[in-house]
Amino acid sequence: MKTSPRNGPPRFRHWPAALALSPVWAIALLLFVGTAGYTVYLSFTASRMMPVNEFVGFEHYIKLFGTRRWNTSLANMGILCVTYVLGCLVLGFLLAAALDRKVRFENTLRTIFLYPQAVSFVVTGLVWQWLMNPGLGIQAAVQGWGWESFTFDWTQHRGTAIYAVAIAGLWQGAGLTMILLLAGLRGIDHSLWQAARVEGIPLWRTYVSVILPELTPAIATAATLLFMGIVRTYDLIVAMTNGGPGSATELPAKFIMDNLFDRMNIGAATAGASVMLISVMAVIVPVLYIRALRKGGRKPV
Amino acid sequence: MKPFLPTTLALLLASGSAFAQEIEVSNSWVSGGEVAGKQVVIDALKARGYDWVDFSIAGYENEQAAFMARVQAGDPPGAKMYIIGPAAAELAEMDMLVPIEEPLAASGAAGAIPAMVAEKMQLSGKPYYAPISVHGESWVFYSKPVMAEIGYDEMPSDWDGFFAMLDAAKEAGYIPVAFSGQAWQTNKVFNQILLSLLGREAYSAMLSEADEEIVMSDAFLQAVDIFDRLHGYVGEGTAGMNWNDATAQVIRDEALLQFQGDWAKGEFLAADEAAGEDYGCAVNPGMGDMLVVVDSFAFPRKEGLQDAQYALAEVLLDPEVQRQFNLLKGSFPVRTDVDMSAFDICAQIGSQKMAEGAIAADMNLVLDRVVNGQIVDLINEFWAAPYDHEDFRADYLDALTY
Amino acid sequence: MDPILDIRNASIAYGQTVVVPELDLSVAPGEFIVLLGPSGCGKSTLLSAIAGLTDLAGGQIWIRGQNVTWAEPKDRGIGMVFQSYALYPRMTVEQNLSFGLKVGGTDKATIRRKVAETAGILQLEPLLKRRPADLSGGQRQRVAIGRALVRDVDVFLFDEPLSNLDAKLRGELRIEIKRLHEELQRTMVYVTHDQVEAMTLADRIVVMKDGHIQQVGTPAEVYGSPANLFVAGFVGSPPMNLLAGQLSGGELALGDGTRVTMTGYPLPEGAAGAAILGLRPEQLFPLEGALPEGACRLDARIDMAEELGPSTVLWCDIAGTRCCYSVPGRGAQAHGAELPLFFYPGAASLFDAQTGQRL
Repeated sequence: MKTSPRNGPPRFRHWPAALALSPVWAIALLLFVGTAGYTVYLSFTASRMMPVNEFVGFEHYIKLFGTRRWNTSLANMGILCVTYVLGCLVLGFLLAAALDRKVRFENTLRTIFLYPQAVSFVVTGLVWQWLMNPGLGIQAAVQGWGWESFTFDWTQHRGTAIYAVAIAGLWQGAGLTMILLLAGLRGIDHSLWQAARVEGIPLWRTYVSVILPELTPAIATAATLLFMGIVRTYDLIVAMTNGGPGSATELPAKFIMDNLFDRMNIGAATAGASVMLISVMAVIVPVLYIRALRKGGRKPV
Repeated sequence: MKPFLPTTLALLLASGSAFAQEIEVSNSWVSGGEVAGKQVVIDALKARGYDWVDFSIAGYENEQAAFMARVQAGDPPGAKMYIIGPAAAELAEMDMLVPIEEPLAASGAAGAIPAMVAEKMQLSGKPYYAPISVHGESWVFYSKPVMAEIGYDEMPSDWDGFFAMLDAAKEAGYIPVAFSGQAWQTNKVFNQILLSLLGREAYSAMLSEADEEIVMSDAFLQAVDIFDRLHGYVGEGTAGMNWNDATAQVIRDEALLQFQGDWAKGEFLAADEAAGEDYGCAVNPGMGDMLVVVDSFAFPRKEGLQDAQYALAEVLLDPEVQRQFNLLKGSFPVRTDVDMSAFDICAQIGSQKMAEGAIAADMNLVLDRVVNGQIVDLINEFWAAPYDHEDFRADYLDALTY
Repeated sequence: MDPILDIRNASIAYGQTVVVPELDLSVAPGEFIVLLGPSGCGKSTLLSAIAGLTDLAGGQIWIRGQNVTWAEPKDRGIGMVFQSYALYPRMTVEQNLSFGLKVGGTDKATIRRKVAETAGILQLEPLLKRRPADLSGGQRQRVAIGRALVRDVDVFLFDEPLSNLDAKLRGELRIEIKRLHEELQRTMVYVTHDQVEAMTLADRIVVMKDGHIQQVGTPAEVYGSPANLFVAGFVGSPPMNLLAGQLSGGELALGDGTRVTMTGYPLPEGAAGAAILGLRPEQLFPLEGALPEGACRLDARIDMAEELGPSTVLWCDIAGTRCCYSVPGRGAQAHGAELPLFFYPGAASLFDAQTGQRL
């Protein structure tokens, strides 16, 4: 007796679709997993200018964490995670909430806020380099208006330079966060606002207790994107401070790029990249896992 | 799967070059003087029946990255601009470069190339680089009007005198030292000072042999002191400032001087300033040796391209090509048998130093890029936040032996 | 008795577009008022204006003798139930019920007591710890009602509360709301486009069209004596049969020449001219034997029959107009069969063909 596909177990039911998609899966696996795997592999070899297969174990990793510049890079990444990600979320949320109040010229304002996103990081970096240059930018301008004692030279000092970078990043990243959160806000049932208003719940309380919890997925998406942005940040640093003063604004991506191309040190670069891969996974995997758990646990309505 | 694409591409390119006698040349020469100089080489190569196909990308690092990507894909260009030294050592060891004994002999350059350069042209015992020009790196360019105003007519020959002059400039309201905080710039200034105190032999030995004794010497510590002391003489906003913005401060007579390589002459030239009249060039105080980098080309091994590569090497080593090229680019010829009469005073001084052997190779020419990078990082860390000089010396030794 | 809700000459506009022009409506305490009309008739807008979520362009709203025209929603003594329930998604049922009170500063003991009370009335006790996402549509609706209930309001506003539910659940909740109203005896204003809800729930139905009130009356009035052609056509399913004719001297001549004498119909003095006769499907009946006293006869040709189970709807042609009538049980007739149908003119409706108004 034949088993019709309808009666078969569900996982065999879609095999034509699975078959049709298999090249995509194969390519995806090869490209993403394959290259990532090769990167990790190289980090255990003596590769310098060209990839070689001679194994050196954890040598690159040991050296890596003994390198001041790499450790500074990691610390800077941590600083940006707090300042840049939180800053973008707060500013983006405030902008989104402001636009969501049905203001006039919403489209124009939205375009203005989103515009920095369309600008290349290189341009952003250069512009902010000028703005923050004490002799050319904001400091010079304000002093020129008569406030002689005004100083704004964050890029010039090791302690503050990374925050200057955070500000430039904030300028660029807040718009995207705003759009993501605005989309989230727009997806919220309008009658929720009305229900809260009928109950006499103050606006700020509505935001905090009702709207923000609803935005959690949008916030998580934005935070993940922003975090990934930091992991990838290279051009902004190169254009704005080139890692300086000293190594005060170095970031892992720049360390990796410099080692990969300029310093001809594939081993160190891939070791750094592998560390980043692991740290990204450490952030993403729990998020995905929790989501999967929630989905699986939710009862059908 | 992997070899398929590169092989196909290589075949396509090889067949292409067989027809047109073309050689693709990777370089980062894109500015005015560089392009003009490059044209001299292109014309001379054309005269020999080969077409130069330009693969130029702004920025040495960018160009290097693009070149390596092509090497790793199995499709290198026919020639690549290099600074002589270990940069291409790994490629030579893997037999991916063509040695140039034949064109070197044919050009008759062997006797006219200074010993230091001749040695650095070699990798694994064979010559691989065809050098064309030399850049003096350890110049002090100064504004003649400012110098005159603070009562000096020439550069002091020792560091104490030098700092006295800087004090005078500071008092007169000038920025004593136009300084740009770009990593390679900071690094050069330190090396310049270091060379002036160690002398070329000790300096070169320290780098090539990672000599602990020299690093631990008093002279080294003195160099660190001087370097640190410069903090009191630089302008505002140096972090992230471009080197040519600093040069502009000298051109505008806002700053007294800048430690810089001879490419700065291009900036003066563009501002209609003449060497020896509006600005002066001096070798730094101290022992009077000069740091140099040497521009050259190396030739990735590629099917059917050797004739073109040999032809290009001969062109690059030709004295007349070198003369014209360097006149346009602002550097000076590698060959010491070139007529220098048409060159400016700075180039003449440089060429003279070279003929005397009073030159030392920039650390790029000596050190592995990884070690090089460690040192650059260290020096920039120190410049950004100076700390105990003896600790720094210990860190320097660590970096050198990384 | 004084009205608990009094809408005086209210008009509502969005920018230049007037949605509701000058409207008056009074609601007595404890009354269940249904605002009925097709979508876009302004009924939801009116409700939202009563709630204070939409501003009036003119006129006033009084609730319990207070002019609340410009009062905040929370100060109007109203509670509202939304079509989409609008429950706070991340809060449990208990928190949903208590949130408003908590923010309003009510003490904890009182909150607990009120929540327990409300949960008791609406049978929400087993659900108190659940979140809205874990509730069925009907349960969510009960929570939404509960949220209005805990606040001790004078007037409940329902904005199409059942239209997101399936037919069966809708029926159940309808009964539930009816029961709730009888138990609480609170004033309720209920917006719907579903005439069955309107008929079953309302003490009075307000039929609206284009922002104008067409008729206010008990379900029986609205059904039995529609005030105009719009109400006649909108209320009732299948719709009222409408036969065009000429009225003169108390006699109506239909298109095919049939004449019916409107004996027993309260015709105004001297009514004449083009008129439309309105007959509910159940007002037409076939009859064997003698013509009953005061009934009129129409000739029909059967077209099609729809058997609904308890009754059968027969579609037929009367004087060139497609009509229908219903009989109890199974009463299918052969296609093309010709038979006489009867009705009592006293129970029928007659409209002026020009104005559409009831004569």
